[in-house]
Amino acid sequence: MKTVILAPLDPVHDNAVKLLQRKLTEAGYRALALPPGVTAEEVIERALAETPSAILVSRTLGYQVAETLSGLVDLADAAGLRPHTRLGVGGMAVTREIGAELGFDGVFSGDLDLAAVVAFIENRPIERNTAAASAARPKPDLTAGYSYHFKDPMIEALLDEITSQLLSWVKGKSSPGIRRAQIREAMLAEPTDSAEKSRLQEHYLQQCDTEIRAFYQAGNMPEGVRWLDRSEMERLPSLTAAVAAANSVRHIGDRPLIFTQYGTGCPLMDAVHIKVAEAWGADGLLHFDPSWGAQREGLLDGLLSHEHDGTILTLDNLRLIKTALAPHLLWNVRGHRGLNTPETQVLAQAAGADLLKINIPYGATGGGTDPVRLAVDGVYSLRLAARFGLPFDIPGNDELSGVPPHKTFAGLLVMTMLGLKLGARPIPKPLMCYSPYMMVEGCMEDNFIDMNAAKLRVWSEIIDAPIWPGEPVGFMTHTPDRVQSAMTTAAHVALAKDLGASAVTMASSDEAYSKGPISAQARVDTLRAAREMLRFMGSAGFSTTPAAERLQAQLHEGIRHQLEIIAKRGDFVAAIYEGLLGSPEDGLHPGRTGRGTVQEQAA
Amino acid sequence: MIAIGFAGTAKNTGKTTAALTVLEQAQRAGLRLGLTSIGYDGEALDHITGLPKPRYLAPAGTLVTTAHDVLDSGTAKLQLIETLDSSTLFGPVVLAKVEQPGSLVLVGPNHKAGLRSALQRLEELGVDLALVDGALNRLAPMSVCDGLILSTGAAYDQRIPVIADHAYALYRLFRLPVLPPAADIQDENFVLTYSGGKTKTLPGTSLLTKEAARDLCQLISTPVSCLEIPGVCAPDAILDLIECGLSQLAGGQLVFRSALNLAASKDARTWLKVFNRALSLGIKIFVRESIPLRCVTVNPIFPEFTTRSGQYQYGRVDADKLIEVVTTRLSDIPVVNVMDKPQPDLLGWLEIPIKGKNHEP
Repeated sequence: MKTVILAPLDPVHDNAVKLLQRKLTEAGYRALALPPGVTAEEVIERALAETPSAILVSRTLGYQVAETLSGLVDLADAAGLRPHTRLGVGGMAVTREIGAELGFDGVFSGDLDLAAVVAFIENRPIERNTAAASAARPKPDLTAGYSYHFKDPMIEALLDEITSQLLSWVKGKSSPGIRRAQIREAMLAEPTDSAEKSRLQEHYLQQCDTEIRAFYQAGNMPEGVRWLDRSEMERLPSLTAAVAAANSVRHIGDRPLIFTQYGTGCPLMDAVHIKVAEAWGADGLLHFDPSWGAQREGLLDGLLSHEHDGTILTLDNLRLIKTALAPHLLWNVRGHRGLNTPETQVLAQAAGADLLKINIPYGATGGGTDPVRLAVDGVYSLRLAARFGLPFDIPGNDELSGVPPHKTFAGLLVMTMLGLKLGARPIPKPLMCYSPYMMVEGCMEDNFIDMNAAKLRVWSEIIDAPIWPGEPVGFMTHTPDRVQSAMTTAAHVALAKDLGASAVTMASSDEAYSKGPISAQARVDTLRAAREMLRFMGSAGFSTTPAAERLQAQLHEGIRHQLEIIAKRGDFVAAIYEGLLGSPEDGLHPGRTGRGTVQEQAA
Repeated sequence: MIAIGFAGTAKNTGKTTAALTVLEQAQRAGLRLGLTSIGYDGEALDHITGLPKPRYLAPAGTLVTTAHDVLDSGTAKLQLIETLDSSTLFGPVVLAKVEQPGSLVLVGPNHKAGLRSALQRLEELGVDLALVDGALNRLAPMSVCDGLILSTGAAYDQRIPVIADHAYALYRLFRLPVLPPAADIQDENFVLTYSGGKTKTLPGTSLLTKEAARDLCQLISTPVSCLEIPGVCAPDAILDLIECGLSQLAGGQLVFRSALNLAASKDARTWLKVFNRALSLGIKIFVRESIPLRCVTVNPIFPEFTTRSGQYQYGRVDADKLIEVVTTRLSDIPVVNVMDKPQPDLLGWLEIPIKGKNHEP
């Protein structure tokens, strides 16, 4: 049994030593805890008698403390202990740099990380902090364990009717978006320099806008877009060097998975944000592309940056970003709303994405794409998701336009059923937010818990499916105050956990007000705040007022009623046009981009 | 090769500034340089005070031993040569060559065994002068160096007499008379030698507490001509040993392994009490190993925490008085402020072999 000496080197405080003694004893060590007030000489004398594997010192840095700690190190060296006894220090304000200056072999700060302490005593690397450990860490499957069984047969029947109509309606229809996706798949199967690939590229360009064609044929860049240069690329390895994994944001359990979103406009800056998110415990990232990219027929190509929100969606950009992602991180590429929805799924899969994102009603309203076009492209995209074996999530962000949640949820459910029928694995994303509808109707004047609880719990009455509140949680509760913003995000994360959410998407604390790319420290704010909140809550939970049950019942009934109206309309696409999933009065208008581009295929 | 350690009495006493002064002078003299540190040096801002730190600017061709993870922390371009056998909080210690001059961060071996091994490699690769930057008040690893430059000043204490007394105590430790290594030297036990030359070993190596001193004293039942203590010692423990074993130790010798084994424990000034008490009883004190103290640098500036701003700022004591008082106490060793103009010739006091004379081509 290995011996470890634990010394407070503090006149009074030895709580950390007592805690560590219990944990190390449980781990099978002979842990000798020395009392408060012990001197460096007494520690070394005991060490000479015991020949320990390690001496662990706990001390908060303060006036003259550095000299006290370095005195212990010096004495250990002079006494000949260092070849077989490792010296570690932990305590407030002790950093790796200070530890090195003091001459210690290990530094421990923050919460007790027993695995790190044991690895230190055993003089071996902390395995979970290595790239190999990241590779070995299994990627969680958000859909595992869910049966997708409908618990509300009436809703199930209505969804079956609506989706059958839609699937029947899309038969024989195609679009430039679908053709580009098909061409892109064929191009990906070809060697880089094949003649067939060149021919396919020509064919591809025939399906593109003038602006996109000009990029390929004349080298004309869309406004604000530029190539990444060599010097930027050379910096990538240092920017994406492996980071030491932070403790999980979660205190207990393995859900919810924590997602953050990036899309700074520059893939290299994205890479840095990804590493920051990884280091602070995120489980996954979502790629956001620019809104203008959704309104063009065709995608650009190559390593491109631009000075707008959202990072340009090209295969090269995606592959570059992928290099920054630790193997254990989940990666979602957004492609749910624009004219390139099918091709986005193809590129995402080719670049190694784990999750796709498709929502016809939202993309055909808030996303600005013509409902006919997106219905055709969306169904094709779902078929791709099924073929690729990739789950897809369905964001319910149309609520932010003022749509009442029962209409948004009706749309999410249609997409859920559609995905299931096509063999894909849907993940509905009801939004935890303070939406315009809630403000106008006064549904959340007393608290933010009841309505959000109703919105998540209603799903468990309808279907056994993973629920991923997004996007991000706490939308419209944030202010320019970073502390407030981090706090409200953390509170929503904790509530989502209490309500059994499978995952959550979090914003940075400056996301709504950054006036440009968000800052790395603001990204850390919310991850850190959520971690602290989940630590605070542990297994404890929130309690709702009686209003929550009433809201949940109203919501359930509202969803059912809305689906009845949509089913009765007998035409899902027409239902979108006519505002049955969100009307102009609610704040939603049918999209117009891509109108008239759907063609009937020849038999 | 000559290896010079830059030790201090506390943090911010001017170790790195002294090392940089020697570095600059050695560069002008055309010496091939090796650099390392037993702590963390070369950072832009102090990790504790947040105040600016002197930066290492290494000339091309310099060999450095530093931690792998800080190889790219400066502007110098370093070529990795090999990985050495010790490790730090910033990864394994590596040997690298400065290909393009620039700033660098040094995080070298943090204990004497690692430092010995690193210095050996530097010597094998033809380095003329190896500079070992210290950390805080740590001295023990410096025992493998050939000489020491000690830095003290107001960061140790703002009372000039206290600075001088403490420097004097260290000076006395480094000036203890050195006995040649004994043929039958014991590393694992205390060794008692009686008047007839007969020896006896007792269990233990170090005396760090009064209790340990009294336990040892109980085992010394007859007068001895010599007590050799191979490990580390605390001065108050030795005082207790002397008081407890007056009749057995009086007129004999106390032999310690190394001056640095004594300097590692407690305030060096306590050793003066030991020396005085031993002198009064006719007990002579020796060491088996020491390290030449080449010079002492004094720094009148100290970091001062201001509660109004919640930050550190620079304070200073009277520079002229500081150097005058310390020089008076250390009469036969150079005492300098390296910031004085003209710059003191530190290199000259290090007795570096002239290039080409001591190395075969």
